[in-house]
Amino acid sequence: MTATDGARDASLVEILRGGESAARVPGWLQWVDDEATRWGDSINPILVKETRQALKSRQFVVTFSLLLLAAFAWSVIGSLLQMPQIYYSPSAPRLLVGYYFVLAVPMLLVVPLAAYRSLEGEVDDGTLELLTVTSLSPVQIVTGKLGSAALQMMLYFIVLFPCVAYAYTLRGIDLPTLGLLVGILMLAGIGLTMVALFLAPVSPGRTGQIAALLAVMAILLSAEIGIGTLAINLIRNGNPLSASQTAFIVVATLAISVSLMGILLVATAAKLTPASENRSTKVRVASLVHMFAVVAVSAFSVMAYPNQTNGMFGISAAILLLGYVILFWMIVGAMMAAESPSLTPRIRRELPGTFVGRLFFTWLTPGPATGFVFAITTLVATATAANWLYAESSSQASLSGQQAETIRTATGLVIAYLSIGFVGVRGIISFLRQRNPVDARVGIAALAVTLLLMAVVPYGLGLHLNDYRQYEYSIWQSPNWAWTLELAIRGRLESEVVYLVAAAGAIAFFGHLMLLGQRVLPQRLATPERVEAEYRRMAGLTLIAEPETDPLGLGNREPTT
Amino acid sequence: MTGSVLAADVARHGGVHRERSVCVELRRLHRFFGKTKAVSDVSFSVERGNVFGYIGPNGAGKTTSMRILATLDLPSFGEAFVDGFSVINDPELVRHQLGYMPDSFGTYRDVVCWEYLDFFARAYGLVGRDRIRRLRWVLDFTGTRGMAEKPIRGLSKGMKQRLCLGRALVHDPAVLILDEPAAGLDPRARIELRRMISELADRGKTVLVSSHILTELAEMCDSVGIIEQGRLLATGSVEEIQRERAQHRDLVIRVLDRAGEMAEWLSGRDSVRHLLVDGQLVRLEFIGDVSHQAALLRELVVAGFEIAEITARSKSLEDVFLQVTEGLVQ
Repeated sequence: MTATDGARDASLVEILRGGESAARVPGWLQWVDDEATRWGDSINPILVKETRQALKSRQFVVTFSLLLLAAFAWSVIGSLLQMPQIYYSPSAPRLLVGYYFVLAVPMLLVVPLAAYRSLEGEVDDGTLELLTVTSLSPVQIVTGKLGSAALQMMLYFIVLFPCVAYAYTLRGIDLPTLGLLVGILMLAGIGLTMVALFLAPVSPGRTGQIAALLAVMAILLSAEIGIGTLAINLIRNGNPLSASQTAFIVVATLAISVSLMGILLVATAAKLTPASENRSTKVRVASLVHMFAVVAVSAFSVMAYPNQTNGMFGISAAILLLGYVILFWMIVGAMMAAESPSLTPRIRRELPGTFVGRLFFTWLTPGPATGFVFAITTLVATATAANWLYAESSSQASLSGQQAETIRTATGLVIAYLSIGFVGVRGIISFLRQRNPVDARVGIAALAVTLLLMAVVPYGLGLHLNDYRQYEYSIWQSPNWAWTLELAIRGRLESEVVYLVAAAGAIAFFGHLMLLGQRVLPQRLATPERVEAEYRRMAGLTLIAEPETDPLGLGNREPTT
Repeated sequence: MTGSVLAADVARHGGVHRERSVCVELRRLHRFFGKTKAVSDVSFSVERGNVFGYIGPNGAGKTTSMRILATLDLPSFGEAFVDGFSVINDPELVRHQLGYMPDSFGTYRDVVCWEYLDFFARAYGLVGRDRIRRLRWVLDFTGTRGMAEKPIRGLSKGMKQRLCLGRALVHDPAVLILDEPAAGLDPRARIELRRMISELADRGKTVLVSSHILTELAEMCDSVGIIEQGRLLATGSVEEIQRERAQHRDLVIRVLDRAGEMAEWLSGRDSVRHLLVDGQLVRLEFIGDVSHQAALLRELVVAGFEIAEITARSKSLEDVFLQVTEGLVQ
């Protein structure tokens, strides 16, 4: 926190102790104080609390002290090791590599892990429930913790800044590369903190907590290695890209990572939101924004650099995009297909009210049917974009159209199988929901089970019917996606099977579309007048002080602890 | 600016709260966890400014009902309202109206008492000097001003409970839900807590309190609800429940002489059980209401027994509780 905040806190304690501040202050100072108070009050309370806690914690004191000590030690040792070349040859890279390691540990490991522990601790200590009954929104809770982590990272970086400046004076690195390095570290730190918060469990189950902690540790350590490799390469070899390429990479990385963090943010907030509220629309909007960013970046990269590595760059980008969107919608679509079909009156109040609204935004409203259609439609759109990019790039690379055709067929089959798989998810979840409330995340497991059954059952039956001997693929194996896709990629799949699978996928899709007919009709519930009046009442009036009392006569008594 | 007592509201309604008689209402509330019926068809209402005691053995469904009222859980069926707002459809509005004190005390590491209260005041949307004024009131009311700068982790159980009550009061809610607030407190801390709750009720707050210490509930509650195995077995004031349930009375009759003879005379009656002669005293359990008791006395006098004194021990809340519940725990 700033010095102003500290002073304000001190005066707050003074006021709490002995009544209103006794000292008269000049008018301008009062104005400054009022403005500082107003500014302080507008800050997210979680950010204030987390920062207060963090700065007083033993973990921060130890990390901060070690960082200072390590930076000082490396400045001395690193400089001595480079004597006497340090006087006449560029020596910054070696020193910066050391500083990178000093800074990367708190930024990429300690702070994200502390943020994870903080949210997990809220669940363990029962304070999350106390927060839930306040006016704080789940998004505020998550952004507060994220903001506090970012603030701590800034502090660690500021501590190391003089050392970095010292290294810069030793020559061997330029300012843009240095800026890029700091940017990578900050973005990675915030991104990893978001991932850690997303993985922080919101239920107190011990097994889940251990699994989540292991996953977080694995991700953080992998990131430490991956980003470390990138950073050290950057320090040692400099930036090999041109200014325009660097600008594109920066913008692309920012667009993709920020939109992905947006999804994680709203998904984490959704985990903290009660089941009666709309937990889905924000995730869908964030997913759309992310898809737009990913496709736009991919398309721009293919368009802007058509002849890069003889067109193979575009082909790689298209394949990467295709794989990513399929994986993304497989996970997100399975969770959406597992949403509860019942709309609470609260959610129905927020449904689109106009015909145009219903026409365009019904897909963003919660429910498994809308989720199914939303996921498949967006997957078709993004996969089509990826296929188009592939076709464009393959013509640039003077490849035959056969490969593009194969990719198109395989993509269509994957989408059709996912459609059928999502139907399976809905079936399994409906069955489970009869006994217990089901979390949307169970949808991923349900999809895995469905896909496993789709592959294993026909294969097993075929094996049984052929006396457990090897047998040829036939149309009866069309539900077996693994075998069918393998043949499709090798170009040996008969067209009847393709039509059959595509027809099954289309039936699943259009069946859902027909089921959704009713949803497009007006079903919005009016908000009760008293509820609206209450919200209006809360919008801008001021608090009245309670009469000051001390009914027990305990006010100044020393407590017995 | 949310979650606060608002000037216009106060002016309009002439006090902290609006003039509506029922403040908390549960309508056919059900909550199932798999096959377990944690709460089954529970309905009751609490009037504004009343203290309602929620009594039941462990696992009876008290905490589940309270969590539903506090918008922390959703009912499987049924509805619950706080100040007329549904806990399902308008949880934000409900949260502004209520202060919740769970049975476990949630603490933060490296936080002192005033920071804890200040954080929750901010979280309820209190700003500027209003927040400071409110914090002062809470620190005074709960008697925690002297420990404002002490770390929470070092506080005693009683002090933590006070601080927790302060947290629940920081936004001046109309309704307080206190889950086992007296659990683990020493007698003095219990008395102080009871006084604070009574003071809050006098100020118009509606308090829903659960406890195992029935004598204390009997003293401070306007009405009680007895719950077992998720079902509400009885509700109303302690006297009402006693009247409804008290068909069994413990009578002690002091006679000048012939106590044994009187016991023999009484033993022939169906309405008398468990006779015991103790010198001049005849102790018995009488089955019947007050009019039947008066008739029995008349007959004793007519029969020539010289009765010096008769005492009817009214049943305590503990007796009523034991009578109403069957000691079954899920």
